[in-house]
Formats: sequence, structure tokens, C-alpha cells
Amino acid sequence: MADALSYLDALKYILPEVALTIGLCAVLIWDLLGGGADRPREGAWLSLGFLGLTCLLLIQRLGWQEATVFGMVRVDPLATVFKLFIATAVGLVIAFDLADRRQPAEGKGETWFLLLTAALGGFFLVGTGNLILLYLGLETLGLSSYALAGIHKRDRAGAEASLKYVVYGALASGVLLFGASLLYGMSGTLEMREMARFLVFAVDEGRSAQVLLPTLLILVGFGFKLSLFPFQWWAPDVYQGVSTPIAAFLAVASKGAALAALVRLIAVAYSGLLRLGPDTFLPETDFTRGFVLLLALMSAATMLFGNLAALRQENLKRLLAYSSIGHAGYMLMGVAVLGEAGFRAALAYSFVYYLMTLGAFGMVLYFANQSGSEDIRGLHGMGPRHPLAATATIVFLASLTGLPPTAGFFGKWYLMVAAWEGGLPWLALLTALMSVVSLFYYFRIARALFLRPEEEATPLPDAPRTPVLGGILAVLAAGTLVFLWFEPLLAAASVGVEAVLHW
Amino acid sequence: MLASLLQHGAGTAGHAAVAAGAAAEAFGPATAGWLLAVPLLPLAAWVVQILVGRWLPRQGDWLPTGAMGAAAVIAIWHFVKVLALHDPEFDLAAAVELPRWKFFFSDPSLTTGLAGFSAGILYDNVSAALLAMVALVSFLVHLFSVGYMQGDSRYNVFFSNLALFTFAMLALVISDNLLFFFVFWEIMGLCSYLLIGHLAADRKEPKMSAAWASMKAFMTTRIGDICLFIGMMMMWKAFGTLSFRELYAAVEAHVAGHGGDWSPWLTGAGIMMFLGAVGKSAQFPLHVWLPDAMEGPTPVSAMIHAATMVAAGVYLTARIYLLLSPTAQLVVACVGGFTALFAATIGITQFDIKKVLAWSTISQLGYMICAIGAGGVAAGLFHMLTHAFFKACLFLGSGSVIHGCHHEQDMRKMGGLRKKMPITYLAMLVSTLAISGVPLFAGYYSKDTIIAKALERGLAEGGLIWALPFWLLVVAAAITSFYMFRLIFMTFHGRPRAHCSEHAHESPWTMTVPLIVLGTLAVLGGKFWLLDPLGAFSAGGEWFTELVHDPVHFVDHETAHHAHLTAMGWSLAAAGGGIFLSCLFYLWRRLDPARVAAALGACYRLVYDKYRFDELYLATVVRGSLVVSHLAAWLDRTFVDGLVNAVGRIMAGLGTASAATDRVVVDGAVNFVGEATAAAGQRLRRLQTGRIQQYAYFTFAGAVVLAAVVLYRVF
Repeated sequence: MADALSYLDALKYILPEVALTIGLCAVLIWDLLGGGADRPREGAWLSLGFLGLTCLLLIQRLGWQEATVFGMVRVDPLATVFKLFIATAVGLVIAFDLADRRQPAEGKGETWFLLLTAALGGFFLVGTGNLILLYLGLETLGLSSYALAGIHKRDRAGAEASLKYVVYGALASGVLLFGASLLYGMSGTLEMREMARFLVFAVDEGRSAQVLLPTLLILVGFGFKLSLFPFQWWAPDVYQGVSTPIAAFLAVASKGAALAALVRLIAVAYSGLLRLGPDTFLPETDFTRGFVLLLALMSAATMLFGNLAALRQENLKRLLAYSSIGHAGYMLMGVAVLGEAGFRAALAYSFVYYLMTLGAFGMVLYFANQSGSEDIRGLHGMGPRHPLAATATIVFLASLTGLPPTAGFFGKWYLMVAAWEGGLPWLALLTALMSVVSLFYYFRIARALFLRPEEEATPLPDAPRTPVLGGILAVLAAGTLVFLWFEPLLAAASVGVEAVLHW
Repeated sequence: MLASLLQHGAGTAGHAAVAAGAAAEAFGPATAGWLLAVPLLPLAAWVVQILVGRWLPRQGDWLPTGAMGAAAVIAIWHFVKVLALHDPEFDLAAAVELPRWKFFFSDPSLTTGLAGFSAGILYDNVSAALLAMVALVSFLVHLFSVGYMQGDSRYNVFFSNLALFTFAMLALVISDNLLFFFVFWEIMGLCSYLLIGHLAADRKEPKMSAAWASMKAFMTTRIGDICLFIGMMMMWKAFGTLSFRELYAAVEAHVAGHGGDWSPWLTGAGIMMFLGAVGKSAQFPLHVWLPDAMEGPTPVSAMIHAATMVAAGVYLTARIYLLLSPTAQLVVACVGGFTALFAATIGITQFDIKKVLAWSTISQLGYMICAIGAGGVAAGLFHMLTHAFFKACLFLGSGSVIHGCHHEQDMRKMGGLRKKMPITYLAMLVSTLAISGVPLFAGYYSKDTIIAKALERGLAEGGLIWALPFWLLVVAAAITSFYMFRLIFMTFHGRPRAHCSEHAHESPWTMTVPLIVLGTLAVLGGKFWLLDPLGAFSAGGEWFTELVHDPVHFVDHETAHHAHLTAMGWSLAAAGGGIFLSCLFYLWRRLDPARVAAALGACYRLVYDKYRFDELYLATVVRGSLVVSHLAAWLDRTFVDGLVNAVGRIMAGLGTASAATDRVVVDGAVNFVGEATAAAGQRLRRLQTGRIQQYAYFTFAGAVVLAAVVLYRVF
């Protein structure tokens, strides 16, 4: 039994978190000693080094036996896979930040420290079966993100974005906490697994509505992090207001962690109600019908909103914000199926989303370094001058749209199959329709790159290239393109889902 | 009344059974549905009004008004039934099966969480009378607003807020447990904030003073709310229930179990809960918000002063009376008595006609609170009802005067309106006689009972400190009649002192009819003596005290009778003396108020400045928080660069937000905000006018729609 672990054994399980904590302390001290302003590169290597160590430790733990340590921290494949997800994404964001020529050098150390803190929050968010630790993880991630959004003090847009984010985030987390406290009030426990038992009892008593309403409140909190409709209003303003690397962090690492936590919460706390298992069908109760309808409605509204609002955007980051809202809708579709296939498809899609969205933000960063503009107009004529980056961009865009043979296509395909077989065919059709809509705005970018003449005023002919960034883009593009990878991604998702379903 | 809930009292088992049978006959099984409809009608009106009100014909004003009308009819109909029963032990729960809602559930073996928490309806004599009064006055205010608010740029919003406000008050009155009571209490706090600040969000000419006033009201009452919550939690922790009935029984058992001694923590919990009422009913030291709340539209003032808000505080004190230890009762009585006197003295010095009435409300609330503290629960509630009649009349009368004088509120510029506005004059005169406690008028009966109760308790307890409430109230009674007649003489007698009062005219019938109705109630609302004119002067026989009995009697019948006579003498002497003095100063002009004021010098100025409590709070609470935020800003700038800057920046933003909130808690701008604060304030302002509120609104609306769709589709 996990509870019987000795202290040292338990410590072994959370060694990645320990490494990350030591790392963030090291970065903090290094920055306070004055390193941040003068030698940003050293700090980046320090952060990346600790992140690398963390990743190694995580990879080592992939095959380990599942365990619950200190009564709260859950170590299983889902947690480990998503910790890797977060750690690598944060590593890439740090590399992005280092390559960002448009941000002042000062404050880099703080940025890295906060990114590592956010990663630590994410680790606990994905790796717990206890609502309190889940909330703490969510808040650690959230507070670091708020600070990251406002890190450049003299930047008015960033400050405004930060404040909006804080206020909205406080609202959402308050509502989530309220929902959680209601669940606690009903069940008397904070452990998801034990909660499952009591929720069954409640629904059997015919009190579905009283379980459904706190569930909705909890979904508000997760909806905020995942930018699901109608809790997505902050996202475009914030993405546009913050620097590109931070926007990438919010879009990828923060969302991925929230998705994993949501899947765990549903699959564990509601397992009794959903009778989840490999071959079972959802029980026909008021609760399940309401829950599926709730998730499906949110998913549909999110994709509709994200894709339609993206059509008229001129600012690339704002466009990507709406696009990331749309993709959140796709992922939620998988969750809405409330079954193993759906969860697996949603998690697998989050890996694909990781590759292509990080790539797309890297693209914005790369071209903004060159042209000084984050608008679509800034891309005019860039294609021929930067063939490698432009080609990578095309790959990302194709994947975001969901065109074969990119990973985006397979991800969407599995989601649609899961929805179709899970009794939500209309949602699958809507996804297909939205893919067509998204073609319009994604290919406005491609058109700007290749088919529009370069404008006179925008180009900065002497801007030095950023080879590291180019390299990262190439690797991500290759990852996105090589559809053969999809099987391993799916396998990773399967292992994660099984771990929570059979807990 | 409350005693009946405890199942201990004078009634024998046989009597109780007979009474319950009669009640069961009068109230059918559908009663619960009817009673629930009273708060639910305005709630439904609110939902519709806030969603689609803007697009309805006439911006939907008829919807909340109509709903309130229906609610008032239902409430009064049931109240008439209760009156007909004439049973002091009446409790609907004993007569018919009432629904209970189980809100939480759990494994029976489970001991944590709100296991088995349930809520229900509490409908006894007090609830019945209050429900009818609140519904009626709210309906009149809705009706009045249809005319008064015409042309307002947020007409539809005003009506939706008003409907929600009324819903909260009505639901609060029939809640049978503290938790739900608190929920509605808070909704009411929110609505008062929205309504007092209504004009601040005007689309054409925003009124900044209204924004400050609403903030001040919200923050001040919030202090009380937190105390109430702490008190509630103490009760919950100790007894595991929040139902009024169960709490009475639990506290009684607890006290009996300790040999009749009240544990100190029970005293503390009682005082904590009472502090909620201190905030809501504007008692010293949390009284500062009520005069400023005049910044809201006049219907809102009438609503807050007569039917809702402040009445909720008195109602709370009455409901928790049995949970108060003797020490806590002493605190309640002294706070009430002190407030009655303290606010009355301020009333003497004010010149704004509405401000005088505001201070008089605080003072009269002090009477009610003091009565309840002294054990006269029925007397306090009785005064609340009669006060609702004559205070509403005075408010609408002052509205009529202000209307007639072309929006002049300064009494120094009025005078001689008696001839020009005869109906308003008569109605206000009658109400003034009532509030002064002149026999035959409603206020006399309730106020006299209060003073008698204070004296009774003083006699029963002995000692100096328990004598205090009685004397405070007597002195306050004299001052009350003095300043109220000062108002009448300055406004209606003498010669017109300014242009505006020369050209004054009587108001249209839509305003005078409510005045006549309320004026009549101000005469007959205490005791219907028309059929028995001689009985008007004898003690006892008031409808309310016949219906509602005090839970505990402290003295025997003979002492009570003696106390009643003594109190009557004192209160008549006080009222007469006050009126006589007022005549000397303002009618016959034998004394010159300006010279007296000059002779009193600094003393007068202190009272005129409302004892400078606003300034005191400014200097201590507000300035204190500003100092802390400055210190934080300075530490931030000086010591910690680098890391903490990033995190501290957000903290400073939040700190400034709270500092800015504090800033508007008090009158007048405070200008010692440092540069860091100012810069952050800029951001905050943009945030407030920016779209984030919209975002939050969309979010809320979206969540509600989602919940509605899902629940509708599934169930």
C-alpha cells in the first residue's frame, strides 16, 4: 500500500518536484545576486539544466508502480506523462523567451523563476487525487501566471492584461472553491476516490441536481484555465497583452495541466456515477444525461465562439488566442463523451495541440523579431526570405486546421470517432464544420507569408536571425508532420487514462 | 411568540391542541405554496426583468410592480387570517405540514460536512405581520417609483434591483434558520449597494457622491455582516444547527445544564450576531452610512428606512433574543438607548430636511433595539411597524415638499408652506405628532410600551447600569419631539424665507394620496380607537401586543402596571417639554436658536459635524490602511528589487484597490495617496470602466443559462 511507504521511499516518488524546487530556488538566488540583468543566458541554462534533470527523473519514473504519497500526491502514468508535458513546454518557453528580442533584458531572471514555479504548481495539479492539493496546484500555477503576465512593469498593455487576468482568475477560482466546498459538504471528504462513493449515494437518492450544480461550479474554474465558453473572455485580451513566450506558456502548459486534472477529477470522483470502464456504457441516469449535455454544450459553444471570432482578427496573438479557445472546445468534446475512448482522444489531442500551438507561437515570435510587428500585415512577403521558418509555419497551420497528413488530422479524427461512437454525432459534425471555417483564418496567415508583396515600411533588413528559434521550430514542425508518431502519443494517453480509470 | 417555538409557556396542552386545530382549519395544505409565492413572485419578476426587461413595453416596470401587488395581496390575506385566529401561540408549523428542503445529504454514518442540513418556512405572528407590512410598503414604493423614476436612464435596471431587494427581504422574514437568513441578508446588502449607487451609473450625468455613499453603506454594513457570520459559526460549532427553533432549545438546555449560568462564549456569540444588526440597522458605532444613503433615489430611501434593510436588523435582534445572555442583552439595550439619544442630538442641528429625517430614523431604530435588549421584544417590533407608517409618510411628505419647492432641501429657505401645501402639511403634522409620542397617535402606543419595558427591566434588575436605557430613552423622546417640531415649524410656519418657498405649490394627487393613506395609518395604526374613544388613553389593548407576547416577563403584573404608568408620565412630560421648547424657539420666536448655538460654541459645532465620526474613521481606519499600503509600497520600492517586484506588483495593485475602496468609504477625497498608488489607481479606474465587469457578467449569465438548459432538459 502506498500509505505504508517510508518517508524516504515517498521522497523518491516526488524527486522530480524536489529537483524542480531546488532549481527554482537556485534561479531565484542567482537572480537576487544580480545575475538576471547582466548575464541572462546563464540563468536560462541554469533553469533548463534543472528542467532537464527533472525530465530525466520523470522519464525514469514512467515505468514505476503507482503510488499515493503523503496522502495527497498521486504518482501514476497520467501524472508523470503530463509532468513531462509541462516541464518540456516550460523549457521551450524559456528558450523562446531567450530568443525574444523585443523584450527588455531585465526581468528575465524573474520570468524564469516564475515559469518554474508555475511548472511546480502544474505538477501538483496533475498529480493529485485530493481537492485541496488540486486547488493549491491550480492557484500556484495561476498566481505565477498572473505575475508573469505583468512582469514588465513599464508595459501598460501587459499591466492591464495582468490585472484583468488576476481579477477574472480570482472570480473563477472562487467559484471553483465554492463548488468544491459543496461537494465536500455533501460527501465529507476531499479525496476524489472516496467522494465517488458518496456521490453515487446522492444520485441514487434522486438528488442529481444537487451534484450537477457544484459540478458546474467546478467546471467554471476549469473553464477559466482551459478558456472554455462562457469563461474564455479574458483569453484574447491577455494573450495579446503579454509577451509571446508567456502567451505560449498560457496556451500550452497551463491548459494541458488543467485538462489532465479535469480528466482525473471526472474519471475518479465521478467514476461511480459514470460506471466508467473499458467496455461499459454510460448508465441512463438524470445525472449522466445532464453532465454529458453540459459538457457537450460547453464544447460546442467554445468551438463555435473560438472559430467564428478568429475570422476577423488582425493581430496574430489575438488570432491564436481565439484559435486556442476553439481547440479547447475540441478537447472538451473528448471529455464530454465520458468514456475511456473520449478521455484518450482528448489527452492525445492535447499532445498534438502542444506541438502545433507552441510552433505557431514560435512562428509569431520569429517573424516579430524580424519585422517588429505581431500583426498579419507584418508577415507580408516574409515567406521567400525565410523559407525554413515559413515552411514550418505551413505545417503548423495545416495541423491546426486538421489537414492530413499532419498530427492535427489524426488527433481530430480520434476525437470525432470517439464522439460519434459515444452518442454525440452532432458534435463530431460540428467539429468537421469548424475545421472548414478555421481553414479561412489559418490560411490568411499562409497567404500573407507567400502571396502578398512585402510592405515598404515594415521590414528590418538588418535584424539578425535567431537560429535557435528556427531550430526549435523545425523540430516541432517535424514532430507535427510525422504522423507515425501518433501511435506512441495515443499509447501514452491510453496509459494515463487507464491509470486513473482503474485506480 | 418566540416562546411558543420553545414549547414552553402559559398555554396548557389542551389549549395548544385547540389552537392548532383552529389554525389547521384556517390554513389549508396549500398555505406553504402561497407563502412561498410571496418572495418568489418578485424573484421571478427580477429574473425576467434583468434578462429581457429592456425590451418589454414600458421597459417592464409593470412586471415587478404587478408581481409585488400580487405578493402584497397574498401576504395581507394570510395576515388577516392570522389576525382572525388571535392566538398568541400561533405557529404555522404546528398547524399544517410544511415542506422542508434537505440541501445536503450524506452517508448516515458520516459526521462531517453539513450532514442533513435542512431549511423550511417560519410563519408565526411576527413573520405574518412583518411579511404583510414589507409586501405592502414595497408595493407602494414600486408604484411610487413608476412615476418618480420616469425618464431615468437605467429605468429597467432600477426596477430589477428593486425586485431583487424586495425578494431578499421577504424571503428573510420567513426563513427558519440563520444560514438562509444570512444568505438573503447578504443579497439585500448587495441590492442596497446597487440602489444607493443607482444615480452614480446614470448614463447622462453620473453622480459621484452616490458612488461614495453606496460604497460607504456597503463597507460599513459589511463589517457587521462579518461579525454576524462569526457569531453564526460559533453557534454552529457549538450546537450543530442553525435553525432558530433548535437553537432556542439548544441554548436553553445548555444554560440549564450549567446551572442557569451563561457561558462567556455564548455572550460573545450573541454580541457578535447582534453586531450584524448594528451594521444593518445603523446603530452606533456603525451608523455613519445611513445619512449618506440619502444619495439614492427617494423611493430607495423610503424602502431602506421603512420596509427593508434597517427593519432586517431589528428583526434579527428579535429572532436571536432568546440566544442572548443577560450581559449581551444589556449591551443591546445600551447600544440602542445610546444611539437613540446620540442620533437625536444630531437631528437638532441639521438643516437639510431629509438629513433630519435620516437621523431621526437612526434614533427611532435605537428605540427598537433598546426595547428588545430590555426584553420588550413585542414592543420593539410594534414600534418598527408603526414607525414604518409614519416614517414612510414623513419621507414621502418631504419628497412632496422638495418637489413643491423646486428641489430645495434646505429648511432655512422654506417657511410658510402651511397655506400652500395643506395636505402635505397635515399629513406631516400627524406623523410628527406620532413620532413625538403624543397620545391618540400610533407612535405614542409603541413608544410608550418601549419606555415602560425599559423601566420594567430596570426595576427588575436593579442597579445603576440597567437604569440607563430608561433615562436615555426619556431624554431622547424629549429631543425627538423638539427637532421634529423644529422641522414642522421651519418648513410650514412663519414667512417664506426664499424665493423657492414663495412659489411653492401642492403636489399632484399621485403623491398626496399615499400621504393621506399613510397619515391615516400614523393615527390609527397603533390602536384603533375610533369605536372606543375613551379606550385610547388606557394602557393595553394595542393589537400588536395582544398578538405578540414577550418571551420572558421580568416583573409581575402589578409592577408592570406601575412601571407603565410611570413611563407614561415621563414620556408625556418629555414629549410636551420638547414641543414647548420647540414652540419657544421656532413658533413664538422668544428664543433665538442662532444665539443659543453661538453660546454653545464648540459644543454646537461638534454636534453639527455629527460628532466628527466620519473624520475619526477617516483618521484611524482609513488612514491606517493607507499607511499600511504606503509601507508596503515603500518596502517594495526600497528593499526588494528583482523577484519581489514582480509578485509585489500584483499585491500592490490589490492593495491599492483596497486602499481606493477605503478612500471612498468616507466623505471627501483623501489626497495623500502616493505616486505609486496614483499610478495603480489609474489602472484600476480603467479596469472599472473597462470591460472586465462585462466579462464577469457574461460569465455569470453564461453559467446561469447553461445550468438552466441542462436542468430543464434533464429534469
